[in-house]
Amino acid sequence: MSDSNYKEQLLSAYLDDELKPDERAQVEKLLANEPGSRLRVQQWKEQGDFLRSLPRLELNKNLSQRVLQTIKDRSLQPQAVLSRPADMVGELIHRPDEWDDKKQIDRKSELDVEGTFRRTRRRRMLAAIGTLAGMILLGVLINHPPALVRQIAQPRDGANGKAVPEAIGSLAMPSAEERGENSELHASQFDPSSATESSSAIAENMPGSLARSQEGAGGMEANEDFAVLTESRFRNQHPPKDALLDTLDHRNSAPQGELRTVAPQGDPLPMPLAGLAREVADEGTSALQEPGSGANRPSALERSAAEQAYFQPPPPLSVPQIFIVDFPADEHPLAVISEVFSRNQIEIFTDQPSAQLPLPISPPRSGLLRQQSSKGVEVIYVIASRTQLRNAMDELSSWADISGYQVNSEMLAKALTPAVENQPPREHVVNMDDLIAEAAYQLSIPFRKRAPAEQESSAQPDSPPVALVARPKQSLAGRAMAQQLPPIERNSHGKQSSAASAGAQPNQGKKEGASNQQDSLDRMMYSRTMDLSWNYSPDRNRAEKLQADDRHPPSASDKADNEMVQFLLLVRNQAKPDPNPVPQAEPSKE
Amino acid sequence: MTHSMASVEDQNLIQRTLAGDSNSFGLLVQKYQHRLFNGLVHVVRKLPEAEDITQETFILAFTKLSSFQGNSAFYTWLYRIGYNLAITRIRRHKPAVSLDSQREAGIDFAGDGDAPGDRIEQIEQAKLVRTALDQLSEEHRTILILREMEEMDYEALSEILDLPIGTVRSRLHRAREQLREKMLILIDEYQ
Repeated sequence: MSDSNYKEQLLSAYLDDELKPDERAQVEKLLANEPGSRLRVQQWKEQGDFLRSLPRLELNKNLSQRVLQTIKDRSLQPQAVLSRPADMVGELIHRPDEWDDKKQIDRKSELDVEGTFRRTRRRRMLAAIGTLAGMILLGVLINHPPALVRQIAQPRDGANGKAVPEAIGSLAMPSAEERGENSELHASQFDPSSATESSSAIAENMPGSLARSQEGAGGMEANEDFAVLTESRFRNQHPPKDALLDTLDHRNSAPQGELRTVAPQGDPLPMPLAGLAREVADEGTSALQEPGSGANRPSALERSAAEQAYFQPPPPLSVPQIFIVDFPADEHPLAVISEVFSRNQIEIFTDQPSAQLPLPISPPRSGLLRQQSSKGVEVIYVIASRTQLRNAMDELSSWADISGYQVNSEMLAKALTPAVENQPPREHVVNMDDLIAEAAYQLSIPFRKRAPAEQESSAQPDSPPVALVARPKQSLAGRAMAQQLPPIERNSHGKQSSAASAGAQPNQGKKEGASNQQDSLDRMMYSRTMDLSWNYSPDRNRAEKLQADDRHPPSASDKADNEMVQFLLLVRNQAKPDPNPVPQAEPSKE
Repeated sequence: MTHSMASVEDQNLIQRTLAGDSNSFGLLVQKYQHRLFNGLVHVVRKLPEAEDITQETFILAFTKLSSFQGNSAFYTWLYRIGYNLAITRIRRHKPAVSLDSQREAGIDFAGDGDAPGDRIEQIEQAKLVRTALDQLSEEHRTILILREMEEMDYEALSEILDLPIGTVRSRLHRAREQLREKMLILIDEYQ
């Protein structure tokens, strides 16, 4: 951040009375010495007054009756934070006032009959407590074997069954302790940022975490499903039949199936996970059956593929996923990202060291890697944490504003927030399928300069697709991709990127069916990315004017901007070997 | 607005709602509906949608009420729900909102109410501000609205927008600066 930018931020915060004492003193000194700063603060203050003077809109109706009626119609209830079993038992053995010992002693002389009733009630109460305790114990023994659960929950490498470190295990599944208070967690973990429109019937009919919105939080679909399976298992509850069928339909219609086709078909699940899958599948199938049809329960072989797909917990690391991690701003993002990817067995390919990437943002701020598939589909990897993406897009917006690029300022982070907010605050796992759709839509937009000839045109893009992709290192598709990478996929030294080198090793093993997998992956990527549209800035003149302004003198960053344009044009040209190439947009002359 | 713990009154209403008294939630709706609506209409910029989202916000808040811990103001929590619903809807529909469409949708911010002759200048000013505000990006417009109109402090902004305080500060500065530039351009054109 430049000094002037920092200074202006201080002025802005001064206006809001949000400065620390030392900063305040600094600003007051500044205001005393610089008329320009005083003027700036005064202008901001006036425009704030203008904003506050805008008429307030009010609803022309009272919503309370409508809201209450809707709540009643939908039979909604606040999702209660359930007590712990011990508390529930405590409530049971709590005696009402009429059972108070003193009162009972007082009454003892009055009626012997009452004493008889009292003894009977005590016996019944003790029997109830005993039954309840027995049920709880039985339930715990059957359904909550802590060690086994912990073992099962541990994500494993799909190929060799090697356990992923504990920290990564928490990405895929809450810890056993957390699951011990499963219902409480699901009720209390609600974060308003996860709020999305809950109009779907699925959400209305499903319990617990499944009841969380399915539409807006589509990015979490697979993980949501996993959460449902977890919850069903540990609470002995099953989603209603209709809800499950709806979900099956939804999943079948979603393009997620394509992703699953690139998952390693031959890699067996680690045994504990496979066991869990079978058990959950059995439970789930029974939930789908009509009452009384248990004797006719179909075998696993008889179940439809869709049902099995639903009840199969998504095996960790078998589908492309991106791991979004919040981390302190002062940490080196690439180091953190590299570590996370390494821990999660994700391999990163790049054709040049990240430090040499001509990013619009200085390299430590994000990772932007590119790769060309065998079908000529160019993919740019944008790898960053949620916070990182947010900050980067924020900065990118500023950069674009002065460079004539149109950045979709509905930031990616916001698009992703509903998808990631249901995860623990420090670590997020987002289903890659939906993430690609969101991120590609958001991120594909900015990086192209509108050529003069294109300014009047609204034609469909002919540029390389840009998507957000990270592949698990151990997947067959990933290995196939690694084997078939053209030379451009490696850097000039024949090494992996610095981001990848921290933990990922190139996969050299061969796999049968790799080309089919590769085709699937290519088709998937192509279908994901070909419908992208590009926005172009209508405000180029203003950008040029601003650049001519002495507030934005040509600088090293401008040079980097030009390099970025050239880089993207290079990507574009390489991605689409066209015998009759369309004239390319000229690099920025600024 | 001072970002503080939920007020005692709100807490009481929440507790009573959780105890089964839905009328108490009705009181919460009455208390915050206009404010929430006014805040959301600047985000979605369509009256019917803002109304829908306001209603959905209250319904969703009702179902999640037990997760409200009282660590922040109830309105902050409520607005965050509404804000995320609004963003979700915007993202889904990608509306191309223009001033004309706003007027079609029934939004005429500057023209509301009686306008005596001596207020014409104010109305013009308000239209100018409104136009400049509309030209801002959604994120900049939102943070300005929350700060200047809702008078939320940085902590509340941080919570609602899910941003670090430092980013709130920088974004707010950038939003102010952009609004200032837009207004200067508009004033030039107007004159």
